[in-house]
Amino acid sequence: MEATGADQVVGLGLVAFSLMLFTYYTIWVIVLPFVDTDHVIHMYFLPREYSVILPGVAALFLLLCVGTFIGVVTWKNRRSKKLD
Amino acid sequence: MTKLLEWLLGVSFVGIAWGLVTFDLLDLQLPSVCKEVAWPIPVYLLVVFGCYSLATVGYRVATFNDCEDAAKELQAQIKEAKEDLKQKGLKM
Amino acid sequence: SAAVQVSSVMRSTNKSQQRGDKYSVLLPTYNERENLPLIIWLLVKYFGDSGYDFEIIVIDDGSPDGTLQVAEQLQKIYGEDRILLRPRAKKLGLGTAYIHGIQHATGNFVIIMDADLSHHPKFIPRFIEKQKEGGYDLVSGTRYRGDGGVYGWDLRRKLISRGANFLTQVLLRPGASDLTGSFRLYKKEVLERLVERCVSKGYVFQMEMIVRARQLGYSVGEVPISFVDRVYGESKLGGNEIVSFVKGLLTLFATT
Repeated sequence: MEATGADQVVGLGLVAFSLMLFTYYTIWVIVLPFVDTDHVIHMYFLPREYSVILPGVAALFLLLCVGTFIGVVTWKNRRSKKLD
Repeated sequence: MTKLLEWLLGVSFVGIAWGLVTFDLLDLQLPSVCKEVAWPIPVYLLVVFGCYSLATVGYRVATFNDCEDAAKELQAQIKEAKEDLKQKGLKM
Repeated sequence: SAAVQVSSVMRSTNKSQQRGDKYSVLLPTYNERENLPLIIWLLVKYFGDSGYDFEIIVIDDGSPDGTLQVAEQLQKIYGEDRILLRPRAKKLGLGTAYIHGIQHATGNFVIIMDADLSHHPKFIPRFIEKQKEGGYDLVSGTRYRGDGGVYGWDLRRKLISRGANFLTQVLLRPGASDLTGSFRLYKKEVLERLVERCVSKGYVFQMEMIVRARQLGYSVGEVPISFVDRVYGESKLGGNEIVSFVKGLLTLFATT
């Protein structure tokens, strides 16, 4: 008994994506401060402030989506209750 | 203590520890690297939690068993049951 | 023949009456005219094969499709000591259905399950054995662990289900893997105590039962089950269900 192919692909894709994100972000926040500023690796990372700004923007966007979802569902609910 | 209060307590501890290091409130005079690593930590923890959540849900969806056999067995048993009940006098 | 089968069911269950345990199966029904005979046939089969003493309590909420009439026919076939009818006038909540059902239950254990064939009676002997193995106050069927699983769910449904369960685990840390499942075995007095304390509705009601059980120090065992969803095509998991689930979850988070 296993999951079907498509479900496995999506699921494992999420796992792979989050691992990559975790690795990149951990290097950025935890590792880089201990590496000399003239090392080539710094080229692959934005200035440090962005390590807080980017997640901040993403979080706001997520909250906006969640809020809209709740709003739409509640509005549809009220509308169908009025029609009852 | 409710789960909400437990969380608030835990978050407060982490928040205080973070504040102490980042803003040097105890005048510990730690090396500047420590401050450099410390200040994004709250956001870091949230991002790591987000990654952990995505990975866990992704893994669980990938391993969510599909019970084909159970469905087939049920179909067969439904047929058997209908026959038997008809014999016993059930009018469907 | 039918007569021989029915009497062999009664002979094998007489053996377990010496052990003293009796299992009352609560079946709340609404428009289950097609499924009710099938679920009862399966229940009689698996209880008969395993030899445990049982009764089935059908709590019909005034189904317009004639479910109660079918239940009456089944009562004639299997006997009034095996099939008990506790109908109600209209569709009221699940919690009150349980209360109404256990009032006249003669078993010392109660099994709750869905009557639409998504829960298979073949798991009931495993619930019973698990309960005896650990002396558990309640045994919960889980779709999320071991070889538990589902049939008939698409990717969207699986994602929502696992996502909601993950959120529940993080917020409530309940010590059980499947909180919204409704295929469970309870000690009768445990079910009585829990139902009177629970205030939620729908999915959240089943979650609250387990959360309160942990609060009161009851032990919870788990058995992997298969959930065969034949209804999904008709009743989707919509935005409304998701929002009320999250509301209920946050309420439990803040109050327990």
